[in-house]
This record gives sequence, C-alpha cells and structure tokens, in this order.
Amino acid sequence: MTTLNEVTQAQFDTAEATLISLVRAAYPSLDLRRGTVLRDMLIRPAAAVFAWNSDQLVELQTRMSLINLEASPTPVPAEWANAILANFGVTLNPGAAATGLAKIMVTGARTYNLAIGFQLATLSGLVYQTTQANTVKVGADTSTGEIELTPVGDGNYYFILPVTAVATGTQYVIAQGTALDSVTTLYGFVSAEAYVDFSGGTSAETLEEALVRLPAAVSYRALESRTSLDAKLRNAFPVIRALGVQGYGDAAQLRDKHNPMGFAIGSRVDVYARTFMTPSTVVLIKTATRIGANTFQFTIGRTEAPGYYIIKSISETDSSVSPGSTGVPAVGSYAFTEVREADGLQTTFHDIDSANGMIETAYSIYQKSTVIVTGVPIVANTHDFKVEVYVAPSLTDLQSYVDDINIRNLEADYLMRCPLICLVEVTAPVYYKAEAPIDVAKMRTDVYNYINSRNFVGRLTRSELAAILRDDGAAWVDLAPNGVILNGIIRDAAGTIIRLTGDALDIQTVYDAQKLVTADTVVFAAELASINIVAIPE
Amino acid sequence: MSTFMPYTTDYTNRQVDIELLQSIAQPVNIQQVSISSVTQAPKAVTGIQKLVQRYTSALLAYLGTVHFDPTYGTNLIAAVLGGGIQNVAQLQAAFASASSLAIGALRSDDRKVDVFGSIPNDENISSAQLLDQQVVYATATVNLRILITTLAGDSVTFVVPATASR
Repeated sequence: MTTLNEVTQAQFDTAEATLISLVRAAYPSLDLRRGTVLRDMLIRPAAAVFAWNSDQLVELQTRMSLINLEASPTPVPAEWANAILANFGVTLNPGAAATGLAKIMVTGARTYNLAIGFQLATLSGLVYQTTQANTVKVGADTSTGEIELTPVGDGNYYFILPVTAVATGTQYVIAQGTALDSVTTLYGFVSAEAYVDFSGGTSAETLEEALVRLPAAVSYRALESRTSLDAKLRNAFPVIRALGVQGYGDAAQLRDKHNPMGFAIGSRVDVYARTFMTPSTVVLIKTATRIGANTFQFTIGRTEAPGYYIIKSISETDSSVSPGSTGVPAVGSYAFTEVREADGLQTTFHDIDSANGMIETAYSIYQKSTVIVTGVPIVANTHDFKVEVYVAPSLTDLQSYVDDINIRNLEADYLMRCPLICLVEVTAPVYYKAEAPIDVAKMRTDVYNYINSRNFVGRLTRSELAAILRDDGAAWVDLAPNGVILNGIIRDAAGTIIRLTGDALDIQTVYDAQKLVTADTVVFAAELASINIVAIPE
Repeated sequence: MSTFMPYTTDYTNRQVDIELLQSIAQPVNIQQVSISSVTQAPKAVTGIQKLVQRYTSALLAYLGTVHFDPTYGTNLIAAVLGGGIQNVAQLQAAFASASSLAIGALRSDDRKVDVFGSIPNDENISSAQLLDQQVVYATATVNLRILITTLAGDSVTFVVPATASR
C-alpha cells in the first residue's frame, strides 16, 4: 500500500473505531459523532493515515520475520525474504533457465546472421532465445564460433543453435524432438525442433526450501564437517541442490586406504554434488574412426564432458532419439560399449590409485573413456556422431574451487564427483470418478518434481508416489503387483548397469561400496517422458 | 417578533464541537446563520447550535462524495444545482427526502451510546420542517427556513459558544 486511496473501507472503519475509542477515553468531552467538525477534520483524516500505518505495520511485521513470510497467505516478493536472509549471508536461489540445442531446418544455403535474442517457441508458448549473435553458413569456421549449415539431401539445410529459456523454471525442460516455431522471422525457415533434451531449468527456490537449508547455510563454513562443507559449497555454488559426502570411515571412501595394510587413514573426501534438479545432459559431436565392419571408436576426453555419468545415446548428428527416454542406451541410439580410465593424474595432487583408476576417478573430472559404437551402416573411415551424456553441471568449477590454494583444506584431499543417478521410470494406472476428472498433466509434473527433488535418500517407494497422485484427485491408485510400476537403473563405477524394480527402489538392495553404490552416493532423477500416468474412469 | 430564549454558559456534562456556523450573537427562537470559515479564534459549541451544525453539514454534503462514508450526505444541493428543481413543490419534495437522510445520518451515531456517550435531549433531533423557501434569481440563491425540533421540545436553553482554549 503506497497511498491513502488504497486503504480499504474495512481498514478505515477499524481504524476510525479505534481512534474514536482512544480519543474519547482521553477527551470524553469531545463530540465525535457524524456531522461534527471534530469527526470530519480530526478523526477522519487521522483514521485514514492510521489505517495506512497499520497496514504498513503489518507488512513490516511480516517482512521482519521469515516465519511470518512463510505463513503469508499471499506470495511474498523474493527480495523480502532475501533482505532477512542476507543477514546470514544467504539468499534464495533464483532458479535457472533451461538450455539446449535447437535444430533448425531452412530451405537454402545462405549465410544467416542471427542477432542476440533470436527466439523460438514451443506450441505451448515456451519461448527460448539465443544469448549471443550467431553466424550460420556452409563451411563455417567453428573455431571462431560460427555454426555449420549442413545439407540434408533434399535441398534443405539444417543447423544446430544453442538457445536458453527466457525465464527460469522446470517447465522449460523440454524433450528432444519437441516441435519449435520461429518467433523471430527467419527467411527460408522450414521447421525446428529440440535437438536434445533441454536441461538446467530449475524453479526459484521457495522460502520453505530455504528454511530447510538455513541451519546448514548459517553454520560455520569450511571444508571440514559435512555441515560446514555443505554451507561453504552451497554458498559459493547456488546451483547445488544436495551433497553426498564420503569421508573417513565411510564405506565408499576408497582413496584413504592406499597403504599396504589397507586401513583408512582419513584426510580423503569424495563429494557427490547434485548440481541439477532434472537430469542434465550435454551433447558432444564426436568424430569416430572406423575400426572394423560397422564399428567405430572415439574417445571422450576428461574436459569434454567433465565427470559425465552415463552416455544416454549415440546417434546420427541430424537425428533425434526417443524423446526423454531413460533407457540406456535410449531408443534410437546405436549400440555401444565404453571403457573408462583415469586421466590427468600426473598433473594433480589428488590421491588416486592408478591401479584402481577407473573406480577412483569415476564421475570425477579425472576420467576419460573410449567408446566403441557398433551396428553403424557406414563404410567411411571416419564418421560424426551425436553423443548425449548425463552430467552434473559446474563440476569442473567445483573441483577448481575446492582445489583453490586459498580455500582448500590443508589437511585433506577433496574430490568432486557427479552423483550416481538412479534414472527412474514410472507407469501408474490411476482411477478417478467420472464426476471428478483429474489433471493428468499436473499429476505427471508433480510426480516428476517429487522424484527430482529427492536427494541422497536411498529409497523411493510406490506409496510415496501414490500419495501424490491421491492428493491430485485420484480416487485410488493401483498398488497391486501389476499396478504402479517403478523401475530404476544405476550405472556403478565399474560400468555395470544395475536395474531396480518393485515396491521400492532401495539402494541398500544393490549396495556395493567398492563400486560407489551407496545411499550416500546415489540420487533419484527422472525425465518427464518417463512418467506415464494412465487415467482410468471408474 | 423575536422572543428571547434562556441561555447559559455552563458546559457541564456537555460534549463539544468546534464552531462551524456563524455564532449566534443574540439567542432568539428564529435565527439565520450561515457557514463561516474556521476563524483564528475558534469557539467551542454545544447544545442546539451543535445539533444545527451537524444537521446542516449532513443536509448540504453531497451523498457519496465523503470518502469512506458513502451513505453520508444528501442529493439536495446536487438536485438544485443540476436544475432538477423546477418549482416549489419539487423543492419541498427534495427537501423532505434529503432531510430524512440527514436525520438518519445523525441518529445512526446518536444511538451508539456505548461509543459516543449519551446526549442531552436538546442535541437529539426530533424533526426538521421546511417552513419557507425563497429563490433569489438575481443572486442565484436559495434560502431555506427550517424548523428544527429536538426531544427537549420548547425546554431549550441556548448554550453560548465559548472561545476555545488553544
């Protein structure tokens, strides 16, 4: 409320009654009835100001307390919460805009100069734009940032354009193959689609979420205890949503046993950083060498997709795999095998046993892999592939941070890793009453958000998801053996794919600390396309 | 033809307001008063003159124009200025309606004894009657002669306005 005109009748009436009571108590000889000069000139203007002040006071009381802000029935501006949180060196995470690649088809081989802010949109109105100027042409010099315009054989050409959502939020995380339209006029435009699963889009942190992390956030910040480590890293990297820590005495801490007796000496810490909400992917265009009939090989260097978790798909550069599929490899991908190994150990002080390098560098920035793709009907000696991998964004920055000479713990060795991701797939028959139709899209989103908000919890159950579906209006959810189906896959540090299913995806049932599979190293995540709600009227 | 009424300067057990109408210098039973600006020497008023002030204020205020009190006032002045009064009969009808609204506005608070305290009978309006009206076209003036009756009837003692202490 900024002016007296915004005072409501109810607020004024309350203020006026209060003022009349107060003034009459102190000055009973003043007549304050309607029509008196005193009422019109003394009480009424004062009551308007009093009402305005009262409203300001209520707002002030609200703005001074995180508890009051949380209890506010109406949404409160983030800056109100930040004004208090800043006293503790904490601010609300503003969320992040989803990013991805768009494949744009055009009619001719011409040079396109796309300005910053070139926009594409989905049919549902989600808008994405470029964040830098781009030049697209045949024979582009990609070393200078130009984008190659590639013929597709029918007279049309396509190019791959990096775009970013115009706003934050998980709704901007669209699946590969999602149709896009050109908002900005583009001469010769034919069609566009999401070239990859978009990732990185997160909603702004709510005050409730901030209050949960506040105790850790305001605690002592240092690379020491779990709490202080959490506080320090989250403060420096708001993108972090959860941390799993393996240190002295923890089962999956293998690096502190590098001695002939094999006993733990401490001072080694592995930190699994969930720096994503929804599964985050990056796409690499890899040139592979033919090593046999229909077989090609390439290497993913340790800096190309630092600490990547798993290869989602390998396909032709102009193709899309099944949208959002969490199968590994995804439907539409070539078959492949990969072998990982340690890389860059000579240049790091981190204590990593090269004899167990594959495990000890797994999902860290010190891994590289050799990938063999099979079943490729190409006879050329080299061939380009589109390689999509799951990653934890910012892992290199995190490792650099904890290695910083001014920040690193002088008595310990911190290694940052991408968490092992249990990729979840849900199929849920949901029954509803005809007179109370359900919103299937909301159910999918709610389940999707729930799974992706789980951190190092070790267990995801069907009943948790059933409760969400019931809250969304389901009359009942079929929890019989053939009812809600919950599947999950994990890639352990040795490269073995572990499949989970049943009433619960319980990490304890596949526990293998020597391959880094523990409740403290695995997070759950799901793609929206992996959430299938089957609505059945009763 | 004027007759004097008794008067007093005793304010005991009286609630006061600030003078809005010109002071009545000589208390008689028929007075012509007009609205004055608040002077540099405001006076406290009570009794029947306070009632007359309240009634006049309510009668002349434009209905719906008082912020946060949309039921206060009447349409009398709006009707006169708007050309809606073509003859005496229409003026009398408009006055009757307006006076009823004004009296209602006063009584709404007069009844709230717990909030505003009790009021003497000579401040409690009983009726207002339009005795005469005069339209002066030369000066575009309407004069209304109104008889205000209180619950005190004829037993009215005029309380002389007193200069308020600052």
